[in-house]
Amino acid sequence: MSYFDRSKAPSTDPEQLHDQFNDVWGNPRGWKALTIVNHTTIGLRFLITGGVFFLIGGLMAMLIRTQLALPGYVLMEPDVYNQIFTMHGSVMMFLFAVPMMEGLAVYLIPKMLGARDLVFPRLSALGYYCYLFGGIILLSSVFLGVAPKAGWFMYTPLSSSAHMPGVNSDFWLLGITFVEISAVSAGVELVVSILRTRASGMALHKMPIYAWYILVMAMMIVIGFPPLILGSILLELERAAGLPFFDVARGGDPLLWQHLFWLFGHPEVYIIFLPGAGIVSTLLPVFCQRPLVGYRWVVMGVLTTGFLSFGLWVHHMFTVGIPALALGFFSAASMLVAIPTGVQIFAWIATLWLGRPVYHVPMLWLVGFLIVFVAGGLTGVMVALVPFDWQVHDTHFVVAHMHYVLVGGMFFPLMAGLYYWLPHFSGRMPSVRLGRWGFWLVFIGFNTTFLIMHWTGLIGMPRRVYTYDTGLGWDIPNLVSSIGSFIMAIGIATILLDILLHFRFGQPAKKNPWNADTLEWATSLPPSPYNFVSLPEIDDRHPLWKDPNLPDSIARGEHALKTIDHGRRETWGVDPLTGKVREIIHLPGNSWLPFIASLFLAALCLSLLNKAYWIALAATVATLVALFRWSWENGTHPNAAPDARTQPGEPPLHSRTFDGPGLWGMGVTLLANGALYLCLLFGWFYLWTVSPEWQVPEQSELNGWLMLASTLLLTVGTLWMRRVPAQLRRGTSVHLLRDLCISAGLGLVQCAALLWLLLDANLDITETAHDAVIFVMLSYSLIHCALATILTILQAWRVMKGYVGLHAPYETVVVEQLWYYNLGVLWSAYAAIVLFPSTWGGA
Amino acid sequence: MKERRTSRLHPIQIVLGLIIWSVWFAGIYGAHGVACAISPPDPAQGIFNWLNASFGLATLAVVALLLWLGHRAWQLSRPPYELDERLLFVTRLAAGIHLIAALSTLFIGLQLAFLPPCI
Repeated sequence: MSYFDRSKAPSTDPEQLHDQFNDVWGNPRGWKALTIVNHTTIGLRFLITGGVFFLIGGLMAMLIRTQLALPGYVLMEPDVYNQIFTMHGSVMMFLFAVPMMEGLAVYLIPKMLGARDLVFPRLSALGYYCYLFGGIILLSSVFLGVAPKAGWFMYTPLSSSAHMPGVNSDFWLLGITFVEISAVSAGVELVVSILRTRASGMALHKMPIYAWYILVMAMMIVIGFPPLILGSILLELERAAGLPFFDVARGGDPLLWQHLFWLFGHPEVYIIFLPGAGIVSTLLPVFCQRPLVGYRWVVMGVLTTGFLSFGLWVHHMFTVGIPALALGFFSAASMLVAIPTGVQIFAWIATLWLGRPVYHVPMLWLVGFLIVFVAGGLTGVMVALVPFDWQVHDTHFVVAHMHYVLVGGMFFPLMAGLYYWLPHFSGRMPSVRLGRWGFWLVFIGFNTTFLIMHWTGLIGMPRRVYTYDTGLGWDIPNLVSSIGSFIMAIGIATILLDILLHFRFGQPAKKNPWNADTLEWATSLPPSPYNFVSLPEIDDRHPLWKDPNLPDSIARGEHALKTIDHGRRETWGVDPLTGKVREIIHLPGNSWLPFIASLFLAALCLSLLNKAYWIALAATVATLVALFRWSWENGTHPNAAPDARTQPGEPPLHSRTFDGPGLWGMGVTLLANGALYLCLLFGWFYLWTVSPEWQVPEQSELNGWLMLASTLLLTVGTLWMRRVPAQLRRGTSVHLLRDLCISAGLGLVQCAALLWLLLDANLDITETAHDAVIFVMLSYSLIHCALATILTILQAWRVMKGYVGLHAPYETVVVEQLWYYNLGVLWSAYAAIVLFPSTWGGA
Repeated sequence: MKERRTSRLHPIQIVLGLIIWSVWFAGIYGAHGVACAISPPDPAQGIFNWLNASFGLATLAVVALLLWLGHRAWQLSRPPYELDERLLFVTRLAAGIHLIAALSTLFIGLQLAFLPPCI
């Protein structure tokens, strides 16, 4: 049946248009609300859930400060205190800071870019449920009395099974990894959405500055989170199965954990700071009513910060005994990173200077941010100096510095942003009086808590102690800090009250209440699920300042892509540089699949926690089935695109091209995957060179010839797979099915060879880190090759069903990328495992 | 218009300088560890040893490469080239990023003039 009725011209009545669009985009109620994939709803869910986790993390902070208020005071026993301070850090970093910033970006980015949704809506929903379930699992450990207690950084050997035998550390490793699925999926989605789904004409240099910040943040998540995911997998394998990656006696090294953790951990600071800075760069021009000074300089600063922040991780390890020259590299890089941040600060000051600032409540938070964050940045430069860091390492000085940077760099801008976009969420304005009270209480409370904490640290109080003796000079500063923290808590409560009350008593917001320049204010307040009835051409960085009537003309359907009777959810697919329209991206509708897949993942997480490995295997299979079904309902599948026809003059649907968003999504995902694999290679070479007890077997039983055969088979399979999209590009599909079947067949034989290699190698994986790493590398390859083979079989099946072919070629190029990736992985594994040892005294 | 990946106007040029910096940074940190494991120079030699010299030369080569690439990008934004606003954005940004990457390489590489390796 065709949904496409060409006889009807689109209406120009905003209400009628809204009803038509709502039929396709509307959110269901009741249980079916679990199927919603729309970015507005998912973004709000992220924000609300993050807010709840923030309150729980804040409560833990109050417990810590109560305990430390007086010397010798015991509110909690040491074991409970350790759990609480570990969970405070973990909750604030993993369940609040990152998801809040991602949630805000998920909510805002499509609206700012003039799109109707993010590019992979089902992935948004999956990310949210993984976050929710992972967070609940992690927090449940607190109520069960078995919460992680080795610090939010989980240093080995403290977190290893020898010293932490219970499930405490497992909760952290499995729960956080579960939550990280959410972070990485949002990262992938944001990168592709920003590059490929902007408004028509919105060239790279016309993008709202916030999108630049989020683009860099999302890329940083894509590259920065995999090291921790790998570290968590390795540590969990060590704890659950005895693979000794971090055990010195068996050839491992605890410092490998620190490297992997901080390879993630330092970029993480900028992952949460950059979106905060993005909020500042968005709001300041609005409240100064002039464009941001030095747009290009700020972009340069953001890009530089993103890269340099990956060169700082060792500054968390200055005291572990690394040679001075290597420390010097990281010390210099740590100082350097202040410069691009400084460029942004000067751009903000210049904007304030040249504009006419109006001090609404969001502006108070912005000014608070400037003061607090600059102070944190300055102490950051101090601890970047190795000799100074040696003095204050593991003292409360570092705690104070870290809170100035994180609360200043993330929380203050976030609050500015929440107040600024509150009318967007609710359609109502907050109370100015309560808002000001909330700000001042938090600002005073925060500085009272943490400014004096610098001195507490300088006079020698170590971190992570559950109490202290009187007479060491720490009594009064600790009491002051605790009083300050309670003032801050009252401030948070005031803000919460303001936000809750405004839903009932707030003044209805007028259109574009702050006279902002960006497109998110061109939606209705609160917005409809489709954002815009029609998609305007954007050729200016400040579209609403250029044309204040744009919201009305959008609502009247005066711009593009306003036909909806085909039943598809659509948005523009554009060229990443020019913003020129290339295709219509048709988006999937509401679906149970993300919820079901995340439920199975939660079952997997829980069964691993309980060491119920057969259930874990069943949950893994169930998850894969759900995800393959997800991939099935794609492209030209009737559930994905009920009608392929477009209006005259319109570009084709993305599934009918070679360059759909899936291609970009797969590319960015493989970038994340590649980061994880590179870290594994790093681990191999690191242990080989640094581990004091590294043991290489005199005679390796790993069959190098078999591995070479498997690698050559994969090479042939990849070259054969290459023929599939190549023939579609030539305009023929005669051998499509045959070539897919041959590729899949080669893949099956190659996987069998790899499995044989693994089983035949007699690896002593619990006795030497050497064999354990080889096991992980080969397993990694095997899993990926098997996945590529299954996807190729599915492609062949889809060709038979008519979902893939000359008319719809784009899925083949997506799968082709995975084959190339696997080829690179297996050849590099062969070089690392077989060739490298033979050149360096190994078997 | 879709630029070829090797084109000086391709958007990848925007971050190329910092990608080169990243490779250099990871390279000297990794190479330092490996060199110290295989054949650490005699600490008595101070900074005048084969390792610092090799790293120094590599650093200068990378700085020169970055400056050349940056200059090349900058030239595109000046006559006789008449690029539109969007390509100018790419070339100027690329030039700036290459310069920043060169300065970063130089500043971090300066440690080689003060600190001996492996100790």
